Amino acid sequence: MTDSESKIRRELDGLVSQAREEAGAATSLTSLDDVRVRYLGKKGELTLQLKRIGSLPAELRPNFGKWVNLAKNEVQEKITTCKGSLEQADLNQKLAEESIDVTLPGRSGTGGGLHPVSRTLQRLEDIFVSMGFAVEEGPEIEDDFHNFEALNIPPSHPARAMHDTFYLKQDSLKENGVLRTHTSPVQVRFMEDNEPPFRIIAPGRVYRCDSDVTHTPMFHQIEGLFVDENVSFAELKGVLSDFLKNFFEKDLDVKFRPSFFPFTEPSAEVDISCVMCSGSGCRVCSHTGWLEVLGCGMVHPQVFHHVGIDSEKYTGFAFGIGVERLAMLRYGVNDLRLFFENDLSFLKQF
Amino acid sequence: MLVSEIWLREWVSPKLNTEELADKLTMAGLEVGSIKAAGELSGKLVVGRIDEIAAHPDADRLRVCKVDVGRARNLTIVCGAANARQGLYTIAALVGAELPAGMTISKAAVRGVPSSGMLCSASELGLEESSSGILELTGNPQPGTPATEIFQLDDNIIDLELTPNRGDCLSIRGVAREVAALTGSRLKKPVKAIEMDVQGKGRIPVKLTASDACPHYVGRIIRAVDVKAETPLWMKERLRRAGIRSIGACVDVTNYVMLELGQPMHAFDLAHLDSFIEVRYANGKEELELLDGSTVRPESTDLLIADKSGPLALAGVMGGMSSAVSDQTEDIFLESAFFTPEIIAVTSRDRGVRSDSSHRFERGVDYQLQREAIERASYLLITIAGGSCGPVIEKSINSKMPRKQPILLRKERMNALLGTIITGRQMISSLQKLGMQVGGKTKTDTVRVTAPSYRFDISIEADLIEEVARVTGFEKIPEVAPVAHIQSGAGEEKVLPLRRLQSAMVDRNYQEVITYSFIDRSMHDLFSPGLLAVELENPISSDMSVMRASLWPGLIKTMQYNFNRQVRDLKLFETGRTFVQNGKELQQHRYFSGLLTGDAVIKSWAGSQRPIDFYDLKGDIEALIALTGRENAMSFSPCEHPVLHPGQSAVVRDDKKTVGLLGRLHPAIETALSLEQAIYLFELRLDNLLESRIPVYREFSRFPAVQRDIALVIASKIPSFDVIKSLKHHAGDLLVKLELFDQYQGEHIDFGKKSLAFTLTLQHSSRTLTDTETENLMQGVIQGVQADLDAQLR
Repeated sequence: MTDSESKIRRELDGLVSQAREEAGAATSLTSLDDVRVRYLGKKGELTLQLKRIGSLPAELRPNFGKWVNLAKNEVQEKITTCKGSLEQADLNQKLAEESIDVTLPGRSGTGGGLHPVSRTLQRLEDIFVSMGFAVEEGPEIEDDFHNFEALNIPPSHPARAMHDTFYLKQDSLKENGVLRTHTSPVQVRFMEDNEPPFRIIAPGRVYRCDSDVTHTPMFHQIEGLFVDENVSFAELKGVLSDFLKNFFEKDLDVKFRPSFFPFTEPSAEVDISCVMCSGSGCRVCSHTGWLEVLGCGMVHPQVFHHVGIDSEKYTGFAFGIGVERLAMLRYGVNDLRLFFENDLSFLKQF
Repeated sequence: MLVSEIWLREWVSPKLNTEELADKLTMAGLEVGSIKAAGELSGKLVVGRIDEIAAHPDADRLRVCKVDVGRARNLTIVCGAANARQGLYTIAALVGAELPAGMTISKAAVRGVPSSGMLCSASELGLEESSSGILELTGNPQPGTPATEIFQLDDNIIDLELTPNRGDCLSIRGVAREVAALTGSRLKKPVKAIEMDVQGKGRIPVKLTASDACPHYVGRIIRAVDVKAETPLWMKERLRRAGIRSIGACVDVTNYVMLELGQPMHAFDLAHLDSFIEVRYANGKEELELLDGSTVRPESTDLLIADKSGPLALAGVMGGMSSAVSDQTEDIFLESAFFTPEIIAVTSRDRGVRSDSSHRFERGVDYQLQREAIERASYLLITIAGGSCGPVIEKSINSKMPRKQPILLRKERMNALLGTIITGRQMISSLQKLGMQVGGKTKTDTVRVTAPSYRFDISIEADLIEEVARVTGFEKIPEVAPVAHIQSGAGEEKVLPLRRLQSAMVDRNYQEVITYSFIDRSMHDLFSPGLLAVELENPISSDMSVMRASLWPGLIKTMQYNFNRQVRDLKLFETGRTFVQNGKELQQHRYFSGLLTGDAVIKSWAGSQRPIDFYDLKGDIEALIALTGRENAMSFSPCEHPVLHPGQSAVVRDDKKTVGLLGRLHPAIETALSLEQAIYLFELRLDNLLESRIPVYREFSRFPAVQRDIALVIASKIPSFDVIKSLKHHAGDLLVKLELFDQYQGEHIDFGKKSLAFTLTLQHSSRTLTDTETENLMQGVIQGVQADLDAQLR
């Protein structure tokens, strides 16, 4: 290398290290950009070096161009690196400034909820609908025929006394108006209008003239009806056991006991092993280990007769479920009356 | 039915303990509600015999007894009872004995004489409510025998919660029959059928005028009865355990026979019977004072036992006061009859009189039992109270007697209905165990079955199938998943599911409530003025006496309940029926109603509080309507409603129907109910609301849209809806969206005017709109609104 070459190289190296130093010292993107302009801009010191090329001896020219470009690249690289760091620092600062208290409560309220009876009804409906039952409704003020007569409960029947019926004042209404004492009249109304086979459930409010710690004058039932050719009691047992295990999500013991309802024959009451104590005995099951949860039976031929269905061709089963009872067991509610006090402190728990 | 286990086991005693026996009964449909011990007496209560008795030196009424209490012990016991006498067997409480009432016996001196115990009365032992004198034991029991043993207190009282079809089990014998059938144990006959010697004469003519209601009547005169004779302890104890109070020998005996055999009976004072006994319907002009002291006016559907002078008893329900057995009675007339269940049920219900007798008759009493029962009662009565029997007077109208028709039972049908594979032999054997007669062609497995006379619940094949299932055990019937026809049933798409509305409200912070369908009369009249109340005949209380015609009273009551518990921000909704009498027709429509009050924006770090106003409510209703896809078909317009604020209420309608109402509660009602904050209410007729639109696809434009803002000044009384209608009309099809983004009144706007600002979005379906087209259109729109509503561009 000639002396002049060495000199030129030293000058260039000096410029590069000076530029790198200045870039490194820049504290803002603006001052960094000033450094770039000062060395790499149109009139920057390294850019201007190229203009010297004409004044150099011919043998130096090819290398000189290469050296200057190398020097520019080196400076540019440094500036890019510094720019990255400064940008990061800027972002960090911005982020820090924008930080908020994420533990403050959000703006929209979360106060709504379904009544526990609705919640239970929806679950009951879902289970039966998944088994192919359709949901039907009926009037709550019923006539004597649909609430009693058609269900094989004539006026003199002792079962009437068990129903604690609310009657409407005669002068205020058509004759025989009663508040339905069960959802069973919906069976009758549905069968009057439809031909088997069918599977329905009928949820709704029912009324009994009784009010104490364990009775409210209004409560909810779901009636079920399954009519087809060759429907058997064994299938009734199958459907209801399946339903109960599904509802409580437990492998419960289910017990069918003979009972009496005027509109089913045979009739049964269904007990499950206590969901609170798993059958070992507790206050909820009166230390018996069992809970009575529903009534059911095979549709009485007389009921079919009332609605014009051939009881030789078709058989069927019906069941009635007390919704509040299941809600109490499912959610551990210990006082029936809470359901209709509508205290927000109670309702908001569901 | 309360059943003494010891008594039951006299009739049938299967090798089962009490629990097992109870379980057997429960699983056969005779549900055991509870099992209670018959009584508990301290071991220090024993039989004592008074061997010597002397006057107390210092007290006239007291005596000093030497009492043999067994194990060669003689105690000195001071006693004040008038009936204490030498040789009397009674119960002595030894020192340390605790009496049922809680008293503990200790050694004490009574007026200076040491007494080491007490001689007890029946009431002190908890056997009677009240008694005079100390208990007198008969049969010379061994002194020192524990009282528990004497009274058979190691007994259990089984409470059977019988269903109304099982009237046959309302007696010890009835339950015993059932137990025998279920366990295969032999039914014993602890009571010999005795025919009493007829000593006296005496007949009284019996006329069965109402033979359809009473086809069988048995009576007997028993003369010279000592009505004051003491009922023996064992009988009193059995009555007590069955929950029946001892009244006197005559009544006790009839009650005892009723418990034992199931036949309700009645004893009349013969001296008060005039000429004959007639069983007839009331003529509607009579009055009868009953044994419970009440007076009834029997109607023509009520069956009476009457004599020549008039009614004596409400047949099968309750005897009359005038012919009742009293302390003066010497001769009695015993009645043991069969009355048909329907007649007794109707009388008991209509006259509001219930008794152990009516309870049994309305469920069915064995119509072959009357003679056996009267013989049994005669025997017991004469044993206890002496007297002489007259002949049995039996009157029967054969053609009116119930008859058990044979019922065909098909094995195939039974197994199909139950889902079982019970054999013909098992089927027949089950029925025979229950006392049924089974005959007919057993080869084809179809049999003829005749039920016994005590079973009133067996009349069709299904009844027999149930009996076979019961005896077989329901637990033996398998559990099977049904095989059924699959049918689709997702419901109509054009009906929005109620659940969707409920979810939307819950998501908008509403709490669902369920309130009673019956409300206070005054609330009904306040919220549904002018509507005829649908009233209950027998309400549970006066504040639940009429059916609601609106859900609002229940929501208001719920609000007040929660106000009283310091909750003042409420958003509530309820789904339920209302009951409205419309002419002859009763309407029971489903409504979706709600209430909101308090702050829309609650006190928060994020902003200032703001009370709920009409537009919060309207926004919620619009959101519900949007779910149906019918928002364009619905309109809100001002309305007049007596319950709502006249300037802040609206009716929602679609093209044809009224969907509902919303608005602020009328300030007058707020005042009447002492409410201190504004209440907003809505009610939507569910059937009209749930009707939704099935979407139909329309071509949409892919060309750029242009937006233009205009502010219009109009008279402030013009509803914004009219301006929107006008703008839409004049902009025509090119207007794809119209937004009202500002309403202003105040500075720079003349009094009585308001400024409304709109953004119009315009778009052509097949090309880009030119500036000129847009400007021309806007000019047309502005001129149009000016013409329609005298609107000025601001």
